[in-house]
Formats: sequence, structure tokens, C-alpha cells
Amino acid sequence: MERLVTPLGLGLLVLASAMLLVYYRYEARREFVQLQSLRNDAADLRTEWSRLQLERTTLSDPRRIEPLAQERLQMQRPSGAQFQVLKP
Amino acid sequence: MSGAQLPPTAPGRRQFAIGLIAVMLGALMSRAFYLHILDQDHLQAQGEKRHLRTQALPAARGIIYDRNGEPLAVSTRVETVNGEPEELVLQREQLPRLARLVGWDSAELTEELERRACRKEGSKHIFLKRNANPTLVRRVEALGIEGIFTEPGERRFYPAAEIPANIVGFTDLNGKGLEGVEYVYNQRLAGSAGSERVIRDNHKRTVERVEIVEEARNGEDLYLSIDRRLQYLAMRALEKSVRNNGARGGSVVVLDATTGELLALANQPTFNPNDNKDWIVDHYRNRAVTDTFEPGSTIKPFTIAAAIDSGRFTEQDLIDTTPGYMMLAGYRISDARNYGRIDMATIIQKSSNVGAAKVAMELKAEQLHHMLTQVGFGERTSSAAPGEEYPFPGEAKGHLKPYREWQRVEQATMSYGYGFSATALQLAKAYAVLADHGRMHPIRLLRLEPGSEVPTTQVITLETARIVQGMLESVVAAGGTGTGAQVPGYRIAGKTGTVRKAHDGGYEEERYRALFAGFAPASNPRIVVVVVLDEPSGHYYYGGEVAAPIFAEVTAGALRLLDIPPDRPLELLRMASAGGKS
Repeated sequence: MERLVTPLGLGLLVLASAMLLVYYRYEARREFVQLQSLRNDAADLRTEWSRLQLERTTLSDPRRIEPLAQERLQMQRPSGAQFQVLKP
Repeated sequence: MSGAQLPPTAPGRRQFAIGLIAVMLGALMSRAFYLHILDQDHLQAQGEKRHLRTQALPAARGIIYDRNGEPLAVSTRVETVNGEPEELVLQREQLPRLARLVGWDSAELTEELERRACRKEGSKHIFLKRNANPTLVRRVEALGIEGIFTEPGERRFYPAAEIPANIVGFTDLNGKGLEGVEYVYNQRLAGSAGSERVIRDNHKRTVERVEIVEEARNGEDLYLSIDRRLQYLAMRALEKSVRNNGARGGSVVVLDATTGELLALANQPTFNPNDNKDWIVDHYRNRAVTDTFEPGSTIKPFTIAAAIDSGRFTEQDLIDTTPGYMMLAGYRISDARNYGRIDMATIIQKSSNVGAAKVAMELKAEQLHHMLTQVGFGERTSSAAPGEEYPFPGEAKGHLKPYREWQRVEQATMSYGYGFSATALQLAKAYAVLADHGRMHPIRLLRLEPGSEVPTTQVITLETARIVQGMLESVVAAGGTGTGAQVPGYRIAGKTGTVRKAHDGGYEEERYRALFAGFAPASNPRIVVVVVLDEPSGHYYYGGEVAAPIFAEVTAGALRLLDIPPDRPLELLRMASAGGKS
């Protein structure tokens, strides 16, 4: 009886380690795939972000704002008489 | 068991075992023969379906921002849509829809595909659309056509277009910097590409990603010292003036007087980096740093500073400029009119060549030369860390002869800015010394982190710098040559210059360069502005007439945008009471 315990125990350990190996292989693959998809998301977001930045910059371009302010909003640069200087 | 006699075995068992092995070996060999020789197509086809290969992981190029975080150069991901003609021609009914998406004429596309499909040698594959945006790519993929594959890439956009083009520069189609900041800081902007192992099919489609060999490192973002708003302001004022005065070109440089940061640098003519159709090589040049000219009267303040610093003169000393001209070694130096006996301030205010020359003749050549080199003439405007490039590609150092080689007449002409050459940026740097109370700092193109220490060198004594600042204020005040540079509410200091252009060893009669260099507010200078207008061909060509108004426009806008309070508010109050009704 006692002669059987050691080989049986070792056998079980080998089996367990084999199962674990399979499991972690699978896990590694799954996480790599997830990493890839997140990486793609990151690249997409970066693209989107740079597109939005370009858009914002285009919209806030002084060459666009200046005529808009002057014509649509009737804004004008204050002349000397309209300045008020406040002493701190 | 070892070494023991083998037990007797049944006869024939050995022969049986050997025979069995021989049969199995034969079976294996014939199978190998079949696969390799008779049916090689099958394996080859299977192999082609999946190659394990290493491909590059592209790194995103860094963004170039202005000092306030406004992007000046941005890369976006684009994709190139490619096609395999042999497969595409088999799906004729899909072609019109594909053609519409990628912007081809349907008949033309079919014809081109057929031509390429029949091609015997060389690559057959065809670029259907370069620089396609991701949305378009998704729509092409949604058609479900066989024989289409995409390749990722990057495209650089310059949202401010031509406004900062001479500083920012541009990249080639592969994203490598060719000019300006894109060129100088290419390494930092580019980052480094990584690599990954993937399994691809014979359509070059990635079937499976296996592992990442090396992570890609994205490029670094850069923050320039440039302020997009000031850049726009300078460009607009310069462009308008170049047009109105029929000038060949010009430059405007705006510096932060206390740090040496470059806030704006505009050139005319320039180019639009987004549109490579009408590029003219001559327009790429950043002429404010590559083109040198004789700085003329704008140098007089440094002559006077050298004179006072030497202890040979005080500001009250009178110089006799009668009769308005002088002869020196057969060379005539003359003023616009006879100013008589005048003090140092008046030499500057009226821009007297005779006065400046007479002062310079009393100095040692070495003293004048020392002053000019100390404020940066004949040298690069910026410093670079070891292994780093200087921020301005193609920068000219200008020409300043060693004083031992000066002849007497040269010493006189140097005093009013003839006989050596400088760039607009060098002139701005030199004026920053006067503006920042005699302290010199290298020009910077990258934004300083707030609160960082700026290394400076005192090159003109504080006292002398104060005196010269006062003289430069008188130039812009009534009676000076630079009244056109006035800005309501602010004390302005500056100097005009009108220089005959040198040509073939002589000077041209009718070709001038109009200059204005100055700073504001004079009570505590914050910005330095230099204006150069090349060959104004209209009725007006004096620095005070054409360059000073550009200075006034740029300075007024810059002081407002940078929230610098007026140092002469009473003037505004007077204007308010004078025009009380408004």
C-alpha cells in the first residue's frame, strides 16, 4: 500500500501541472487577444483624438474667428477712449 | 541486468522486428516522396495560406504644439487600400460600387484591373486609394470583396497651414522631417517602431498576431515657444504691408525680452505645407535666420552703448556734426541734413551717421567689435545641448570681420551698420540685450517650463542699458524718425533703419531694405519686435515710413494678447476725455 502512495501522488501532480499548463496557455492566448483589441482601440481613439484636435484647431483659427467676430457679432477692438485702467 | 548474458530468444523474432522497421521506413519515405515530388502544389498552397512573419509596429509621430497647447502639426492614421487585380476582375458586379468608394471611374478601374491582371512580370497589385481615412476603409471592407487589403500609414496635417510654416517645416511622404522643427527634432518626434510576429495569408491579411517582439515607442510631443495668435498677427501685418508697399519679401521676429523665447517669426513669401502642389523651393527658406543684410542705422544704439561703456563718453557729451557730412579716406559720410552740435541722444533720435562715425573714431576698434560680438553678431543665435541640432536649420551667422583687419573707414561705417551683416533674428537678439537691461540670453524655440531659471550674461552695464533705452524712446517720440511705431497707452523704444542693398561690391541706388527694431513697454520691456521689409517699391521706403507701422500693429496686438498693462495709462485717459462722447 505504502509503495503505491509516492508514484500515485507524483502522477496526480503531473496531471495537475499538465492541466494548469493547458489552462494558462489558454489564458495567455485569451489575454493576448484582449491586449490586441485594446491596442486597436487605443489606436482608434488616438486617431479620433487627433481628428478632433484638428477640427477644434480649424474652428478656432484666428483667420476664421476674426471675420466672424467682426461681421456676425459686430465686435470691434476697443479704442483708447474705451479703455479703463484699474490700479491694483 | 547490465553485462548479463542476453536471454535466449525465439528464432526469427529479430528478423521480424527488422522487417517491420524496414516496412515502416519505406512507407514514410514513399509518403514523403509523394508530398514533395508528386503533390507539391498542395503543400505549397497550404504554406502560402499562413506565413509566420515579423512586421513593423508603426510608432505615432509626436504632435508639435505652440506654447499654449494649440497643435501646429498633427499626425493622423490613414490607410492605403490595395487590390489584387486577378481576384478583383472575377467579381465584376462589385466593381462599380468599389470604384465609387475609392473615387475611380468605374470603366477606367475595370480596364486598369484587366490590364494589370494580364501582366506577366513584376508586381500586379494596385493602389486603389492612398491616405484613406478609417471610415472609408470600413466601408470598403463592408463590401466583402475578395482581393482587397489595407496597409496602415500616417499623414501629417498642419492646421495653421502657412502661418508658422517656416518654423514648423514639413515631412516627406514617409514621415521624415525635411525642414524646420520637423527636421531638427526628427528623432524625438519620430519615436521608434516596434515589431510583432504575425501569421499572414497570401492576401497579406493578418490572420493571427502571435507575439510582440518589441513594443513601439511613440514619438515625443514638442511644445514650441511660438504663440499661434502672435504668429498670426505678425504674418497678417507683414503680408498686408508687403502687398501694399510692393516689397519683395520681409520678416517679423517677436521675442520674449526676458527669456529669449521666440514668440513669433513670420516671413513673406511663405508656403502652405498641406498642399505640396505649388511649393517653390525658394519659399521654404526661413529668411529671418538664413538671409543676412547690413543692419544699417539699427546698430547705432550699440555704438553709443560701446562709447558710454568705455568711459570715453558720457550721454551729455556734444558731437559737432557740421556741416552734415564728413570725408574719410576719400569716402563721404553724410546725414539727411546738418544737425550741428548734438548730444548722444540726438545722434540716435535723428539717426546721424556723422555723429555715430565721429563717436566710433574716438573708440578703439576692439571696443566696438567687442560690443557687437557680445550682443551676438557674427554668431549663432541659440545654443544646443551636445548631440542636439541647433533649432534653426540653415542659420547664417552673418559676417563680422576681426577688428585687427578693420581699416579706419570701416570702423566708421560699422558704427552705423555698414560693413558687416546680420540676420533679422540676430538683430532681435541684440535688441533683447538692450531691452533686458544689458543681459544676453540665447534664443529658444522650445517653450521654457514655467519657473525655470534662464542663464544670462550681463554684456552691457545696467546703467548704460538704461541710458540707451531712454534714447530709443526719444526715437519714437515726437521729433524722432520712428513716430510711426507709437502704440497708444504704452511707452515704446526702437530704432529705424533704411539700408541700401549691397550688390556686386557696390550699393544700388534704388533698392532699399526698411528696418525697425524695438521693444515695449519701455518702462519694463517684455517683448522685442524686429521688422525687415525687403525692397519696398512704392513711394515710401524709409524704415520709419514702412517698417515702423508694422512694428506698431504687431506690438499693439502682442501687448494686448499677452495681457501686458499699459505703462502710460494717462494717454488713454486723455484720449478718453478728448473723445468724451464716444
